[in-house]
Amino acid sequence: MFWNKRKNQEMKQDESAAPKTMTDLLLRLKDHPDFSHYRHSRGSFQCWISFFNSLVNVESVHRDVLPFLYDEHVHSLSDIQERIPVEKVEQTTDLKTVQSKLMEGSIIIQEREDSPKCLIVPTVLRESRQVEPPEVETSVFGPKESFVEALDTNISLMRKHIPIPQFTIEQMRIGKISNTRVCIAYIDGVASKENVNTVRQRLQDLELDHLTDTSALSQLVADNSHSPFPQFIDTERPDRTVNALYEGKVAVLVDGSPNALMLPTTIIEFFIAFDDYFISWYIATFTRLLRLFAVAFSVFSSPMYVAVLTYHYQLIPIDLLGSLITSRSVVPFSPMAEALVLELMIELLREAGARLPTKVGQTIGIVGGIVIGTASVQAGLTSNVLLILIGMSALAAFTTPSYRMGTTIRFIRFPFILAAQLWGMLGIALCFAYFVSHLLKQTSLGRPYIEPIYPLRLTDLRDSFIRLPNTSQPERPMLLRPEDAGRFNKKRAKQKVGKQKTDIDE
Amino acid sequence: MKKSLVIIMMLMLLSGCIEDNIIDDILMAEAEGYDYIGNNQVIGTITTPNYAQGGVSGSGGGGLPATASMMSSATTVTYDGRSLAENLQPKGQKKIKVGKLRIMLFNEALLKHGFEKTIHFRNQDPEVGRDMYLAMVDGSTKDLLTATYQTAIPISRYVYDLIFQNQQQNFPKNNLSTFLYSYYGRYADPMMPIIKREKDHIVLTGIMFFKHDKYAGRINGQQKAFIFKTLVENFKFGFYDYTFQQNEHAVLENVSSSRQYVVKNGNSATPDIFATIRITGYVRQGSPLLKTKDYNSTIKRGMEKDLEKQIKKMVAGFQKSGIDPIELGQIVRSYTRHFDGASWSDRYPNARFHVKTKINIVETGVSQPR
Amino acid sequence: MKQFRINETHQVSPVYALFIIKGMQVGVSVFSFQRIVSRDSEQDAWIPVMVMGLSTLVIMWIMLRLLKNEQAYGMPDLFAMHRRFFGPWIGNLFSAVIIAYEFCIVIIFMRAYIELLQMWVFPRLPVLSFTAIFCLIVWYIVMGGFRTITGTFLLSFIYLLPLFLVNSFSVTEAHFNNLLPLFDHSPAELARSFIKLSPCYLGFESLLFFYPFLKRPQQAEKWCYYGLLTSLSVYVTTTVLGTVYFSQGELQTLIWPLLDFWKSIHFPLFDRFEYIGIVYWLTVLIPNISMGVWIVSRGIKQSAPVIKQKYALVPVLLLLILICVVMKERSQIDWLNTTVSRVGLCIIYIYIPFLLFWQWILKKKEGMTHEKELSHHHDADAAQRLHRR
Repeated sequence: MFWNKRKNQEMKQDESAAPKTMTDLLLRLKDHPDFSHYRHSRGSFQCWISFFNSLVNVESVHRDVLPFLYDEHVHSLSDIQERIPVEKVEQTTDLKTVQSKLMEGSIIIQEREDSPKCLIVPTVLRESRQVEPPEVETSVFGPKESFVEALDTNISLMRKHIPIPQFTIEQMRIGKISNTRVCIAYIDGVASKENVNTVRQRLQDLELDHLTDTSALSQLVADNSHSPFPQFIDTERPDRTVNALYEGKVAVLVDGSPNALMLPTTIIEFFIAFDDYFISWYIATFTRLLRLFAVAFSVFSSPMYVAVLTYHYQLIPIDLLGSLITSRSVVPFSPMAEALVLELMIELLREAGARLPTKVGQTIGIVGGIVIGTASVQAGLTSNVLLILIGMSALAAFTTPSYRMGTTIRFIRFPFILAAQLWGMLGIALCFAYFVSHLLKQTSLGRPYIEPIYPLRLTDLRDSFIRLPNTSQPERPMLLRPEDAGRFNKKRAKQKVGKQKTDIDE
Repeated sequence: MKKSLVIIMMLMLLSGCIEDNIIDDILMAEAEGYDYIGNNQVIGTITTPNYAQGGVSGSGGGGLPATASMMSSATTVTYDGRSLAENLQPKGQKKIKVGKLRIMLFNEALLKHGFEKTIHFRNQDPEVGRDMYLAMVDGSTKDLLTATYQTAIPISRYVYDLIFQNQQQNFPKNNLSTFLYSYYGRYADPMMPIIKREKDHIVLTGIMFFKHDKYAGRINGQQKAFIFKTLVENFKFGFYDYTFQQNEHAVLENVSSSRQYVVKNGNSATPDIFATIRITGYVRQGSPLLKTKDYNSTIKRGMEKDLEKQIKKMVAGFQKSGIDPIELGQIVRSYTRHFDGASWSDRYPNARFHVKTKINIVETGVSQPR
Repeated sequence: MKQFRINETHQVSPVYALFIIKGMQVGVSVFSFQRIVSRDSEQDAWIPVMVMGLSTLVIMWIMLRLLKNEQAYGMPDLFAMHRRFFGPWIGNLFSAVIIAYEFCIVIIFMRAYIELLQMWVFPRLPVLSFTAIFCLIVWYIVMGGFRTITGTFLLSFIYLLPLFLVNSFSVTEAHFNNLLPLFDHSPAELARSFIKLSPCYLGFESLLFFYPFLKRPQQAEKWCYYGLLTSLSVYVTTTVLGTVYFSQGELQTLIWPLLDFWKSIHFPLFDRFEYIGIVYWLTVLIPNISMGVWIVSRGIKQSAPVIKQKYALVPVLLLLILICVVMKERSQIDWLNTTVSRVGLCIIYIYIPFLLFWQWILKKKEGMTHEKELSHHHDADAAQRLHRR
């Protein structure tokens, strides 16, 4: 196609515009206000020093680099390299390396201005915010740390939890222009080799100019990017990431993003809050089942309302008929129209709440909930019953721990409502069948997406809708095909719990 | 992907032509009444509850008129076995639907005439549930359905609740499902309760029995209903009033009642049917003259004798008129190998019915009699 | 040389044999067979149901034998078998008959469900758009391959569990003495019921087509039997339910007794369970039709390897839509139904045992020639065959 051709040509031009020699590079950078390039002429050694003020740690430059240039024993670049108390100092003549190091915050030292031979002293300024408690995935129990934008800080947060040499981090650069650092983290010997290879392969095959965040990355490496269902979980909690790594998953971190991507993921994990592991398994099971019910309720309540009230009046129990009809009787619209109006209203409220600053957002919630809700009922635009249903289903959708999944759930309600209007419950059933077959075909990193259900794996079911106690989960999830399947020795775990008592009071 | 989406959208547009039944845009017939006026003609009445009548809660004085349908009852003359909803449609400003029908009432004349067509039509109709009540009305059904009563709830619910409540107690369980069971069943005859309007009340007065689809007799009062119920089902909440001497009563409240049948010589000309009825209950309304010892000896024995007598009388009556609401034929069939069904109707009146009742009085109240 | 084994990524675990076989056997006929069965054998209707269920176990044994033996020679499915047994021409002819038979089953199932919908839920349901949308979903599933189809079978099994629990509601209103006296009918009466029953249990012969897709077929055998026993239990319980909940006379007036029973069930949140039940039954229909269509399109591919399965699929679905739209009258469907069930009966009880017999004869013959060849020590073909084994 002709436009493809043109794009390629543009790319070529870009490459040709790249600086060819050292002088060329310096000439181009000279005009930048934060670029320092000067000749160091005092002392025994004379050289050219260049760096970006905004990128280097100026304090460290003044303390650890510049004083050593005055040393009388310094006569060449190698001398500096020997004396400077900074690690990973290197000499190179490769222009590309020089350029990228310079742009990352290293100091370049040259003997002559036009010489291609450079000494690179890394004095990178690590400026990032403090490690703070998580904001999106808040929890009542458990650690209160979250990832920050700096990749190295994030890695250190994880290393603290996994103090073994098998914890492997592979780094690569993605993005033609941005050259963003991306890390693959996994525990060697636990994570499946196949999964790691797939992740590496997919990341290497990426074709893009820049990368800003893991969530963008997750869509790029997804198995089916046309699906409304998210295929990988991204989390801001290091503890959750580490837990996933211990299970045998692979994590991907991107420099500049406070999220880690965990691969592969099943749909059920989107409904698991990390808190569940910190509370008694009865209660965890209860809340998980509650969430499952909430999802079903959230997806089906308003479509069922539309279907039943439009087509299947026989289904309504006689005692409910009265209140339904009375509340509907002033509404001039069909059930679908009123459901759509209300659903849209809730979506608007959510969107407005998400865009506004926190303090104003709360006000919007109150205004939306009380004023618009009651007013629309009084104005006869919607019925009371539907207001309750929609309000509850919105609430139910927000119980999903993953915000990403929550949005999907709210989204798929709309096709269901349309289908309900067309063919009542039959429409809902057809729509459901479509989504189920979609999920059946879906994969995450080549692994089945709805895994413990299909393929049916009883060992993985123990930690899905329900959570059994830790002692009965001696294996890592089969989904991940871990190299080392066992978490611990089941027999010994049983022994530790204690022997069965022989009798009362014995 | 895009192509299939387009196809789906097109098909959905194509398919937007199913008739809808939006609940506030239809008239839901909840009760149907049939009065026979001779010559295969009936007066049919339907009632639809008027939900919007009492003002709309939450509309907050917006002054909006309710859009819910308003008709509350309508009457027409038609031939026997015709769908009333269709026939009355010209009187309804919205579609009349029978999906939530709860009661069907018939007057005595129609039942004497036979209502096979009506009941057959009901059985064919997939729209109606099987848990609605059928009842005979003493007097005119139209009168009963359109009169005003002390209670403000819709007439259909009033009658439904009345029958439902009493079937928990002395009256035998009977709804469309059980009616059809015995109506189409081979060696059984159906029955239905009788209701009657008494000024601003409705009263459940008794049970009527069919010979196939025609009226064939009735029993009146709770007492008889209790006796009948002991024969047809196991039940829990009933009460039996026993008069042990002039103006002296003891009321047995039923805790459980169970029945058991044994049949001998099922294929002979005179089959023997042995029924055992076990009743456990307590006496709450005993006479002050009685002592606990009396209950366990004389009263108990007297009650057993009395019940046996009554039951025998009732069954003999059934046999005489050739109706079988207790489904004795069904019982004999199940106890007999190669049951001779063809001659059963001739043998039934000659069947020998033996009954034994065993009453167990568990307690007599919290206060000690003098 | 042709590839005889299916790639393991397309295969499913042995357990799924249970779900597939049960799913193929339990169809729309569950709603209606009680009337037909009890017409002749009345309260003893459960006996022919049970006997037929047990007889399917025997047929299953024959089928498994047949397929297991066939593994040594090539792809263990019916289409490959036909080609090997009868040569490419006659074999393909037989395959064509089988394909037509499977296709007719799909049509009957589809039409029966549409009839149910039109009778109970939407009298004015447009057949064209319903079948078209339905076939789109089926197309979407079948394009996902055998694994996806198996997934729908598993899910439909899970969905149906609560539906069959609902049947226990009948216990409170059951007349258990309707079942008495036991064994009160002559063998002739029972046999008549037995023949009428045949369309119910049909469907398990699909094992002949999907057998190569099972991992570790040796282990799958027991699951095949369990699948048959599951559907046996479904049919026996629904027969008993029909007998104890309805009187014999009433049962004869009802076309779909199970739905009439569901009609009287109500929960606090909704009345009239049968509406939900019918719509719910879509989850049974989808795997069933997907499997049928998969078999038909795979049959076309196997018989004429030029045509890819994904291209064969589209005309098959279009034909399905067309026939469903054209066939409007009840009598046509009834005719097709009786014909196909008779053919099915023949296939199961005559043709499959015959195939095993034929296979045995071929083996004997081959063994004899083989011995001759061995004595000559020269035939390369024999060596190759040995090698392949």
